[in-house]
Amino acid sequence: MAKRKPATRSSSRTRPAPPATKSRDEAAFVESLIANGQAAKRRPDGSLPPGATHELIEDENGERRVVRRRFSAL
Amino acid sequence: MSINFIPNDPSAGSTAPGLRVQAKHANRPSTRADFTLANTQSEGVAAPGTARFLFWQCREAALSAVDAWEAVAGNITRWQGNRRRLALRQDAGVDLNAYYDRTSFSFFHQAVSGTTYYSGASTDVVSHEVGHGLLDSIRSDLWDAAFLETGAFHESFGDCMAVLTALSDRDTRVKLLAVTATLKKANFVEATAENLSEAIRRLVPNHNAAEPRHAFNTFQFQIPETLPATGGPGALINEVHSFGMIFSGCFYDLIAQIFAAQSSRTEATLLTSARTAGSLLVAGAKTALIAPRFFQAVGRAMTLADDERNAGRNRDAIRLAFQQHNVMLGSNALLAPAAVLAGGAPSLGRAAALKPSTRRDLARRLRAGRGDRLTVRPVELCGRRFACVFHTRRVSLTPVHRRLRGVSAVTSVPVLIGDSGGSPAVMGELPDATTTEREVHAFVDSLVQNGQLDLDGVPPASPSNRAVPRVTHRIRTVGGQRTLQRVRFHCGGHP
Repeated sequence: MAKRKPATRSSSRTRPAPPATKSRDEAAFVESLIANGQAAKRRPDGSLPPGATHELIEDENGERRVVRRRFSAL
Repeated sequence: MSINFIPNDPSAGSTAPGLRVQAKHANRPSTRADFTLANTQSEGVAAPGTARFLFWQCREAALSAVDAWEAVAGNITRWQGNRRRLALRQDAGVDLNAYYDRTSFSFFHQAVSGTTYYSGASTDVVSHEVGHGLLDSIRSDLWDAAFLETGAFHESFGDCMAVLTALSDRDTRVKLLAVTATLKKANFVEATAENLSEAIRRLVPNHNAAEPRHAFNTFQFQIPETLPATGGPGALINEVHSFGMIFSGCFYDLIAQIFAAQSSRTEATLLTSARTAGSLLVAGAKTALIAPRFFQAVGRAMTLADDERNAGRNRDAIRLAFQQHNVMLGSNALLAPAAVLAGGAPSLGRAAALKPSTRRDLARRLRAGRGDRLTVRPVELCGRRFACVFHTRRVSLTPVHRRLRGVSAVTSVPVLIGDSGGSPAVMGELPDATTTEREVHAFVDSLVQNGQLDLDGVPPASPSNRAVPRVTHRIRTVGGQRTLQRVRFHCGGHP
């Protein structure tokens, strides 16, 4: 069923907001995506789990970021 | 030939227009953005639950949503990425959801307790997804904007498109006005995706989405992270679809406000009202700058669009509609929460006080350095109490003039701290340290240029200033530091 998962990355066109405020808001957004199952790693077949709108990507240093792949109805 | 069509949602209830026979939408002109259809079915009246019904229902719903958009935004010729066609997949497999991913609009089916639910059979759901695609065609930068409110706005925009699509249907408007002549009552138009919510309710009764999202609501804005991450059916939570109801509420209330101002309230004036609100929504969505408080940014952009297009005729309606959901657009935005801080709610009694963790967080955001001071005072504005924090710091004046090397100016910048959802929050705007420095430098530079600063006895630059002494500031040593200080005000204008 529609389970929600993780997150996002910042846009190069993202504007305003003092840096500290912005990074806190960004982090809060990622937390919300993860808490609601909207960010997730791809499954072995390359698809995202149901409900996930963002792909959770981990680089070689273990740093995690989220990238939007789609929007969902729920 | 005709088709069967449900103009709202299969579970919209007995007051909504139900299944009806109608002529199919004509194909889109070849010059406009379009859909690539999948699993094409022959035209004809088909029963719900059949592949033929689903194909024509989904196609009709998608084209109705695009029509509703074009009535308020003009023709769409390309989707995001200059694509002319996007796939419309009325049944892409098993799921209780629907997606837009820049290449397709995908809908699904799932059997729950013996009933098969098709997300592509709901005009609400199809309009919502097509709404994502339409918004993406004019604001592709919102796709990966990293704030919850931008994501929530995208979701809300989908719900607003579902409302606009519904109100573009005459039968729907007539039936809606029979339910509520003022729109100020729960109804089948403001409720979104009832059928999908029914399926979720049967599967996971306590899921937040087990209750349809409602645009007619009394939810009040608070900084999203101060809300719980999860919650029961229909609760407002820190999640994009749920939080989007705040904005949908503003939009729905705006339609109601504009409709209330009409000299007669008929299905025709309801259409006009919805289209006025819709065109302002699209204009606002087009121009609002990406920011953490994006709902407010869109509302303000809608106000500016109304000034330009309608001579501000709907300004009060926009302000009131947003204010009803605690999204402040005018001068009262100075008292609206802008950013949540660490720690518990501030003490706002006779002696205002911040928790130590709040103070540390605020100091970090203000980039307060060693020697900076944060002093707290209680203030009352418009009948509400706040803590006013004064950030006192030194700004080096070395970059302004060679004779100001080692001199600094003391500035004190106020920050208003209030409460949002039980957490401390910056109200209005958080001062930007760089902006403060630039303002101080610009001010001191003007003092130097106008001979108003006594640079240790060096005469003013221009002859006119030498002829008419007008010094207002001097450099004095305070606490061992050479500091700019005002010595007097000068009442004269330019000589």
